[in-house]
Amino acid sequence: MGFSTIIDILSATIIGGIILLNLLKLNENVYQAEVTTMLDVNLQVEVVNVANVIESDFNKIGYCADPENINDLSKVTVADTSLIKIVYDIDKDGDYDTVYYYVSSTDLLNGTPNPRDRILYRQVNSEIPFMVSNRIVDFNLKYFDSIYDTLTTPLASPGLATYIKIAFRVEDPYAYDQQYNEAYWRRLTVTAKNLKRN
Amino acid sequence: MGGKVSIILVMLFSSIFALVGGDILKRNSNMTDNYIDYYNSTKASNIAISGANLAINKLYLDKNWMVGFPGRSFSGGSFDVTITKIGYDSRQINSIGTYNGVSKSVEILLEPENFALFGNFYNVFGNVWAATGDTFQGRFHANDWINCYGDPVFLGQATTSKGVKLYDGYSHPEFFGGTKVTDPIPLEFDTSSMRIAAYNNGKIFRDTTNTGKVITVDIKLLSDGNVTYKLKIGTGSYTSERTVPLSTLAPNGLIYVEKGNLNVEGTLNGRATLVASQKGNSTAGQVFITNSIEYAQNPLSNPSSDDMLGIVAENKVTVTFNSSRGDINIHSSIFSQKDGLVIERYADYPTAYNMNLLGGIIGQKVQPTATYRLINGKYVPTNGYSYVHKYDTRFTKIRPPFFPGTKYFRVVTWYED
Repeated sequence: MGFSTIIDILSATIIGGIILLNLLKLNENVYQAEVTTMLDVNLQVEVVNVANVIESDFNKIGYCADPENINDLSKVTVADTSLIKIVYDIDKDGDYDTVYYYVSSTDLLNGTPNPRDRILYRQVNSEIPFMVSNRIVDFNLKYFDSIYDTLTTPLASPGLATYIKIAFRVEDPYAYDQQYNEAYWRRLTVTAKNLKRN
Repeated sequence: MGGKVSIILVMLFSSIFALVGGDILKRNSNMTDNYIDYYNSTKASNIAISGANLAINKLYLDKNWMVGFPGRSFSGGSFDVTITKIGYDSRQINSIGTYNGVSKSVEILLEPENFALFGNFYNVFGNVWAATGDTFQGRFHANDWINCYGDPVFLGQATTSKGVKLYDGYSHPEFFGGTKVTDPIPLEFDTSSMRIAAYNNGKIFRDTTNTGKVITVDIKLLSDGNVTYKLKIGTGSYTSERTVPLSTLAPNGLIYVEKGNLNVEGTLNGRATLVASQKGNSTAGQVFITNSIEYAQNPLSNPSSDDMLGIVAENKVTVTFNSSRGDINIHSSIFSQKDGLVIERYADYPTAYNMNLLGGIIGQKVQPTATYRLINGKYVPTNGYSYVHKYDTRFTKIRPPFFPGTKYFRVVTWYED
C-alpha cells in the first residue's frame, strides 16, 4: 500500500511535470504568437497609413485649382533615391505648394534596438516637417523618363521624371527573438495626371 | 492527487489559451479589415477614374455630350458622372466611384483645344529628323512618328499618333514634358466661321469686282497700333496706302483675305489674326513674311504684353528671299494647313542667319530652312536660316483672335481626392 502510493505519487508528479513543461512551452509559443501578431498588425496598419499619405500626394503632382496659375515649370523639383520634392496645390487655393519627402539618418533613432529604422518626413512648404513614419528602414524611389528609360539619381534635370516607382519597407523597432517584423509596400508606377500636361 | 492537479492545470491553461487565441484571431481580423479598407478605397478610386475616363471618351466623340453617367454599375461598384459647363465652353467632369460603401471622387477640368497651344505641330514628319541641337519649346505633336536623331530636346509635352522613332541606339531624345501616343489630331480649320467673324466685326479683303480674281494685300504693322495696307486685284495695280488704327480696321482683331495672298511685316501693337483663304484657287491662301514681325512689347521681357499675332494660311506661309536681310524675328503662332513654314531659296543666302520665332508652327509638314555641312563631326548650318524657336507661353491661356481650334477638349486639371 505504502510503496504503491509512493509510486503513484511519483508517476503522477512525473506525468504532471511533463504536462506542465509542455504547457509552459506552449504558453511561451502562444505569447510569442500573440506578440508577433500584435506587432504585425501594427506594422500593417502603419504600411497602409504611409501608403495612403504618399498616394494622396503623388496622385496630385502638378495639380493647381486655378488654371490661370498653371505654369510649365517642373513639378518634380528635387529627385533622389530616397528624397523627392514635388509641387501641387495642396489646399486648392490656386497656388502651388511644395511637398518634400525625405528620411532621417538611422542615428536619430539610436534609442531603438533596430539599427536600421529611420524617420520618414513630409514637409509642406516651410512648415515644420511632419513625421509620416518612424519605422521606415527603406524608402526607395526610381525615376523613368517618358520612354521608360531609367534616370540616374540624383536627377540633374528633375523635369525629365515622368514615371516614378515608389517602394518602402517598415520594420518594428523592437525585435522578438532577434527577429524584426517587416512589411513592404510598392507601387510600380505613379503617373500623375497633371505631371505632364502642356 | 497529482492527476487532479494536472487536469486542473490543463483546464486553466486551456482557458487562458482560449482567451489569448481569441485576441490573436481578433487581431488577425483587424489586420484583414485594415487591408479590406485599403482595397475598398483603392477600388472606389479606380472606379471613379474609370468613370471619368469613359466620360472623357464620350466628350472626345461628341463635344456637346452633357448627359453624364448617373448611377452606372461598374466592376462590382458604381460610378456617378456629371458634366458641368464652365465659362464659355469649358467642361468639368465630376466622377464619384463607390465600392462597398466607400466613395472616392475625381474632378477634371477640360477646355477646348486650339492650335496655338502647340509650339510645333506637323501632320507629316516624313524623312526629317529632329536632331542633336534642336530644342522644341511648348507642346509638340506629330500625326506621324517623331523621328529622333541623336539627342533633340522637347521641353513641352510631345504627343504622336505613331510613336517615337530613334535613329539608332545612340539616340537619346529628352522629353521634359513627357510623351504619349494619341489619336491623330486633324489639321483642319473652319474658314466659314472665321469669314463670318471677319464680316461681323473684323476686316475682310476680297475681290470686290466679283470676277473671281486672286487679290493681294500688303500689310505693314506699326508699333503705334496703326496698320498701313494696300491691295490689288488680280494683276492690277495697288491701291494707294491707307493707315488706320488696327482697332478700327478690325475691332475683333480678325483680318481675312478671301481668295488671296497676304504680304506682312512690321511691329504689332494689339491682338490680331491674319488669314489667307484659297477658296478653290491653288495660288491663293498664302502668307508671305517679307521682313521681321515683332511685338511692340516683347512678352519674353514683359510678360504682361498684350500684343499677340496669329497667321493662318490655308495654303502655306513663306519667308521671302532677301539676301541682305540678316536675322529675322517672327513673333506669331503660324498655321499652314497644306504646307508649312517655307524659307524661299534658303540655299542662296550667303551665310546662315537666325530665324528667331516666338510662337509656334502648325503645319502639314516640316520644311528645310538651311543647308548643312559636316564640320569637325558636327552638322552646322551654312546657308539659310537656323530655326531658333521659343514658345509664347501666353498661348496656353489665351489664343490670338479666332485662331483655329482642334475638335477636341484637353485636360487642364485632374484632381483625385
